Amino acid sequence: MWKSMFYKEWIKIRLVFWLSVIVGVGVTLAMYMIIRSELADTPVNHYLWKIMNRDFVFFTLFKFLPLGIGLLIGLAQFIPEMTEKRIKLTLHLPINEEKAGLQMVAFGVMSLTIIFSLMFLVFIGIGRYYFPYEIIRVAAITVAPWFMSGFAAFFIAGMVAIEPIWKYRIAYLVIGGLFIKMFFILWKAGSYIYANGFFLILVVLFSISILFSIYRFRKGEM
Amino acid sequence: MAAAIIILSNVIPTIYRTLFKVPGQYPSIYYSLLKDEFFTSTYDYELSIQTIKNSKGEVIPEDEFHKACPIENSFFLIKKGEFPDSISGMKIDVEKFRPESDYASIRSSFMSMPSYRLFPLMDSKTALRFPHDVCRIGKKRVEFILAETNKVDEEKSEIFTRIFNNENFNYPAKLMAGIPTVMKPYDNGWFITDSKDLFYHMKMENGKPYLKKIETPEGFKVKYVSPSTIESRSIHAYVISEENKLYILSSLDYGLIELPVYDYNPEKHYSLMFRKTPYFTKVDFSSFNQRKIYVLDRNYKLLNKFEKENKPYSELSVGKAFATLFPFNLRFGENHHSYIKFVFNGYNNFSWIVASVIFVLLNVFFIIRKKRRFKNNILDLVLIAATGIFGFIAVNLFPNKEY
Amino acid sequence: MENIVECRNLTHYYGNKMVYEDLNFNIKKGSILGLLGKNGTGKTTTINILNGYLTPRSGECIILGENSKNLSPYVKSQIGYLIENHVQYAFMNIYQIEKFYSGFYPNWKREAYYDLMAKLKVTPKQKISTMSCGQRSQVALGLILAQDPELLVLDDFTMGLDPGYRRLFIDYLRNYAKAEGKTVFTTSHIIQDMERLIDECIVFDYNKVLVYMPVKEFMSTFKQFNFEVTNPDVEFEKGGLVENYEKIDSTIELYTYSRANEVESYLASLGIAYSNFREVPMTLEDAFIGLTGKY
Repeated sequence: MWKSMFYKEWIKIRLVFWLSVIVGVGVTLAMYMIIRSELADTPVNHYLWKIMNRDFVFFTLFKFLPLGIGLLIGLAQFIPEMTEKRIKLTLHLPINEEKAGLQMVAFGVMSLTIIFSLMFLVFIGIGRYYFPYEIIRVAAITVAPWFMSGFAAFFIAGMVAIEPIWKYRIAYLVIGGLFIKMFFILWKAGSYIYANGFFLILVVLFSISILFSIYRFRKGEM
Repeated sequence: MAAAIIILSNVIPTIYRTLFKVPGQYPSIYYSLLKDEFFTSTYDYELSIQTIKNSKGEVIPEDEFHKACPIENSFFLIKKGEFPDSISGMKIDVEKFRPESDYASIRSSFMSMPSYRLFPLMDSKTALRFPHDVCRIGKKRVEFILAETNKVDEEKSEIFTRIFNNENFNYPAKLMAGIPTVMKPYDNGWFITDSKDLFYHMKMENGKPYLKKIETPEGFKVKYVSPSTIESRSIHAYVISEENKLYILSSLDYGLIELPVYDYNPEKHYSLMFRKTPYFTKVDFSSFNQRKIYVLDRNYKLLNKFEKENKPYSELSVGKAFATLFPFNLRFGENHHSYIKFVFNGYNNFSWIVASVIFVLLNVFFIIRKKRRFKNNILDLVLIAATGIFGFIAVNLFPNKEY
Repeated sequence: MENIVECRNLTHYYGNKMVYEDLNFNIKKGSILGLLGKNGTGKTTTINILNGYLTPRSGECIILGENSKNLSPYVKSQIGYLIENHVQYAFMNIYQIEKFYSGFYPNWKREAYYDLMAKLKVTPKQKISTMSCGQRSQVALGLILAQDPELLVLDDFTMGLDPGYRRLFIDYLRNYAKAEGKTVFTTSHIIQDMERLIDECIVFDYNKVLVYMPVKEFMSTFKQFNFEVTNPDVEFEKGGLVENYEKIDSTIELYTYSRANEVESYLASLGIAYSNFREVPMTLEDAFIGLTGKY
């Protein structure tokens, strides 16, 4: 049954999925192209010190990309469910409603994991070619919350889309927005090292938030 | 729901703090060696007026202040030709001022700052310029990584590692303090501690390694080092120990001189300043509501002390309301740290219970009005009782499943 | 006979606006029940309650032995549900949608679906969103036939269908239901052709149920009498003998469950002078309009 569910979700997002892969990996590659051209003008050691001592973050191009991808996948998955209240069809399927909702979320999480892993691998792989291990380690710590913001955006998009009542939709949007903001408070390289674990827990807590909206939909508050 | 409570516990208090901001006052405090007295100077930015008060709180004219603190006001006095020849019997040579003057500002945030654990080691004997490599004191050896190729310079690494091994350095390095810029009068290498908290000074001179183990008192651990670039080169660095004691690392035999300052606490005092003149050293630190200044003589013995304390936030009415309204709050970092951390604060006194009871009653009212069953909402009520306003909002945003 | 659906004392409000109070009805196994009413009388509300998308203020619906608030996956698999406007996953094509649904139902009857699809002039790769309303209704119907459920719940399936498709849909459905012994619950605000389909009907008006009886009984007992009156200002009291009436100039159209002689003696007892008294034959649609009024 989850196979069928994933099939449906895949039909919905496949365009957006490939687009995200292309844009995500493309931007990562483009970022290193820019760095390469910058390195042609500045000596590498100067570039390194800019990174190390002036809090220069060489991967800013990256910053909101996972957020955008998460949002896009979320919208691609949940807007078709909400137009004409198609979620009724999904909830009518002969499986538990909550399971149905979570299966859709699980599929989105899987897709995002694939896209983000690809981006991350390219990011780390090429980065290691140019820079010492320490620089890349800090870079990975710094981009981790950005990737997490992508997952958070996905969950929030789902929750807001499925939510039947406008009042709650706005409330969720506000809470969600404030939550997303947390991932971007400070972006000194490496400053999230002690917070990433906690953020991960929060994101996991958020992952089931769609159930609240499904629950209210089923109670018939519209 | 838990996530919502956590988010709200950050957001609402932040809004509150922004709305009811307590304006901070940061007067400049001057020490007059001549009168052994502190002067307070406040500047009103709106009126562009400087008001100077003496230690009795009397407003004094600018001239009197300039004469009392000739060192800090040398600019004005020299212009007017009123600069004294001597202070307290010591002859003053304006030319010797600068080399023996130094200034260091240490913010608590510097002590816990993300670090790349790589640093540029310049040559202290040649002209200041960036090296072509970065240094890493890794798990087994010292390594220099050539920036251009991103490869280890084996030869140079080997030379340095040998010196480190000779000094029985315990890899890897824990703390690395230096001034990684060419905008300084001279290079003095890096101060490092090893994994067993032994303290070293590392330099490169004409391409040769230099490593000096610094003798420290028993049980001494370095918390922070602020290297000095004093022109006379009389001191190496300002050092803060793990026990928050302050030291000056003298360049004379690497002597570690303990300063008679015992109540500095970087968790509280987010700002610490050293101001050194040929005649005295001023140690100045402040917290949200406290300002302390210790003036030390040339041998770092206490000369005078200044202390000012305002009411702490929790005793101001906004602070009291804060504690009542919010049982706890979440901040993304301790005061002035450079890391994002989840810091929960609260449940300090019992005033929050009042607000929690009100919110519980309000929710009971909601339950009755919506004709819900109490049995299904007990958990919600417990949550509100424990988390007050945050729980109240969260519970009403995410209603329970109820059939 | 066994009841597939039993609704007891259903009461629902939207805010303070009452939809209905104490609605009771049963659907017997193998019968076709039509819920007829104008727009906004609570037809979809009832369907939503039946499918568990809405918790009624009070009362309950028992479907195949389970409360509709908490339907098990098995019972849901035994309910074929056609949403208003034939809403389906429009981003799929007819091949994809079959593949999707077949994964959920162990007794999936693929042939039933493709037999119906073969009659449609659509390409297999055509997305449902690009199809006409009639074609979409056939896709939705085909999926339900393949699902082969015990109970079919159809929400206003006639909406947007042209007469040909409507007739096709109704005939196909009735033949199928009767041949397979399926139970059908359908709502509609278009009554035309409905008597070809349904066995029993419930007629909703705002806030109340006007009729709940077999269609045959309704058609044979509910009558329309026309007559001319000399005094055009005459008014009748509703609720007793007179269910409803319309006045066109001096002609009165009177709707009643009473027989001709009862009506005539009623008129006489009121002292109303009339002429040209006659019974007018009605279709279900005429009866529906007569009962609920034109407005």
